[in-house]
Amino acid sequence: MNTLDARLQELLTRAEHARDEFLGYPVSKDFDYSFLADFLGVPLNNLGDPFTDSTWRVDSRAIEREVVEFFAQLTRAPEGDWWGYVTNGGSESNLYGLYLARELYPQGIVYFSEETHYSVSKNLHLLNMRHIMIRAQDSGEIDYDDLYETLKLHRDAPPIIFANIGTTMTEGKDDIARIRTMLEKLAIHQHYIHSDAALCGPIAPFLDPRPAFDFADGADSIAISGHKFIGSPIPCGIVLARKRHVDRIARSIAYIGCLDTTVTGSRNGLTPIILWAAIQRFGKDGLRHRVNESLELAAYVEKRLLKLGVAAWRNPNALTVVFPAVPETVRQRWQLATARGQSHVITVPGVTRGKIDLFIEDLAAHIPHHEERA
Amino acid sequence: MKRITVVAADRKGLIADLGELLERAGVNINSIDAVDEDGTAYITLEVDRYDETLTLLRDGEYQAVPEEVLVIRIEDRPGGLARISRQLAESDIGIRGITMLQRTNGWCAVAVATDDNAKSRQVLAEFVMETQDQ
Repeated sequence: MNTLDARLQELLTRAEHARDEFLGYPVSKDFDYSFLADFLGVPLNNLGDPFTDSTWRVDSRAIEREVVEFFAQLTRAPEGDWWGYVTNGGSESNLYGLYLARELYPQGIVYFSEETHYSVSKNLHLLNMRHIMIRAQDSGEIDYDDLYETLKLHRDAPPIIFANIGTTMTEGKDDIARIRTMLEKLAIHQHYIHSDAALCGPIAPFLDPRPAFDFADGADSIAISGHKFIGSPIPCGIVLARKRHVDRIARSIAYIGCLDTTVTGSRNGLTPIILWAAIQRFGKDGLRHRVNESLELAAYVEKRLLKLGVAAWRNPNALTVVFPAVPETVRQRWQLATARGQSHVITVPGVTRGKIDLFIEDLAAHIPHHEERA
Repeated sequence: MKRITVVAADRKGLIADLGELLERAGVNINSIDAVDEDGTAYITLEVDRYDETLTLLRDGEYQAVPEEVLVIRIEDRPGGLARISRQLAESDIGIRGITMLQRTNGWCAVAVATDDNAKSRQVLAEFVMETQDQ
């Protein structure tokens, strides 16, 4: 084995080990896309808007359109009034939604809860948008009283609501139907709602009750991550928006012969193929089954932790099990995200019952005088 | 001399840790002032290497607020931030951003970025937590 091979082998071994151990990040790991390896020999680039013609044809844009359509249906997008593309992840999808909102309402104020992912503050800075942070409830869901009081005092500026459909730490979901009712009560007619459904976008449509998060519930744009619940070796995401909003910001890029409404222009052509392959593999029924299995495992984790005397809890229909911060050695071994005194396990596909059992054993060994309850 | 405000849950040794961090990097602290309000420490620093200090504090996982942003303290209740933003709007001050830094014991530390900091300081004087004069 030469030095290069040895170096890569070492890296692969380390990454595979880390993949097999992590329990605290919302990234599925039950995939094998090695059958797509031949595409690594092609300079795929989905330049610009996937829905317009291009002179560049080394792309996967036809497949990308099918991926976007699948998620548009899943999120009940209005017939003939939706658009979207495959992004490089949730942050770009959120950036796009906020960009649309700013173009529609340059004087708008963005409202988002304190539990919102840090990348959103970065995006707001990048877009130079006015913003007010709103309190969150312990569940992670936005504090509707605080939002109402704040909206009431700023009726003169169009509100741009950045709704979390699954917060990072607790998987709290903001109810956009409730927010819309609030806006109606305040007679605020000009508004924009962006749903950040990075983790829960492919989950929420299969939950009962179905969370209020999609176009039929009043969203103007939705961000979904591809590498979280679906699973992908390369970070990716989908952004969907009402087409009439996108049409307002379309601009012509003559040299590639298409209208480019995307953020990055040159875009990954491989990730749409990965998502397409996942859709072929699962379909809607497969996703539903995947959701149910993940929920069952989350219930199992919660039950095992409670039996151990750990004050674990989770939001209704959540894959995220939250508990008081565990000892550093346990946190490091299982790569448990920890913030403000709380850790969590997220039962995404690929996390197995066997690994959970090992984690519980490890945790029990680090909790002094624990007694598993009957 | 530019000012940095660090907002943190108060604990024993906090200022010593902060001082050591900056000393190790060779940053000269011209002044340091701290106040504890209901479990939250507001530490105001004046240093010789402003940008470097901000980077050091960020990397050390301290919540460091640059001089361009006001740090205020308000009661933690629904509409609390809304009233602050309304006061600014009524004084014709444009809000760039309002961000919660800490919520403890019924109080909230908030960073407020506007298009006119001097005027904002006057309008929000009763809430501002910077402990030194400019």
